[in-house]
Amino acid sequence: MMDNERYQAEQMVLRSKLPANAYRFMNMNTAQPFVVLAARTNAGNVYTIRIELAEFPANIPRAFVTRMLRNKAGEEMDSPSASMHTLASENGWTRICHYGANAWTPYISVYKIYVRCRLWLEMYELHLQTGKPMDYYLKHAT
Amino acid sequence: MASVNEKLGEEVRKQGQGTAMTELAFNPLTGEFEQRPQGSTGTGDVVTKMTEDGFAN
Repeated sequence: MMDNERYQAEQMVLRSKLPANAYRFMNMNTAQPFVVLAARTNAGNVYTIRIELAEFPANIPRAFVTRMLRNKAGEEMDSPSASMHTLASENGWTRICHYGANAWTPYISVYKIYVRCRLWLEMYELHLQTGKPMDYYLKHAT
Repeated sequence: MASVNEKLGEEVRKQGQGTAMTELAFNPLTGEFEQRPQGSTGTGDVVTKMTEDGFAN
């Protein structure tokens, strides 16, 4: 879990980057802290991203879109998919596969994870438009 | 004719392949991704490395 110094630093970064009403840290003094962030795609669609912080920054935090997304074929994006960069869903939410174990370091900020999830959403909407899998656009980490 | 989004996607793809002449920036003020020529200045955070490094499986 984040120490107070890191928590302050994360808040400072988000405060400098995003509107105050675009994010909210929740349950920070519990065993299950998380942050929710609003994400508006270039097309104007709004999603909520939830990043769970219980093991952050030591381990890769789980990141969800707080609803079940469907792919171009209408199937729920609820399971691990390399081509769509998703992991097994929880709570009925699509889970984004963002950073891999090889790329993760404790220095990666919540803001960077947010931007990565935001890029994932942009490519998700493009998938809905073109039918091409997301890994056509977002290559796999080596 | 390719939409703005499709152009963005194709540039992201090229960046992942290392063949793009553009870089990707996220402008937190507008909340939008923007493409711009490599090395140019502008507002927002350059995040091309995200596309170059790729996403986890």
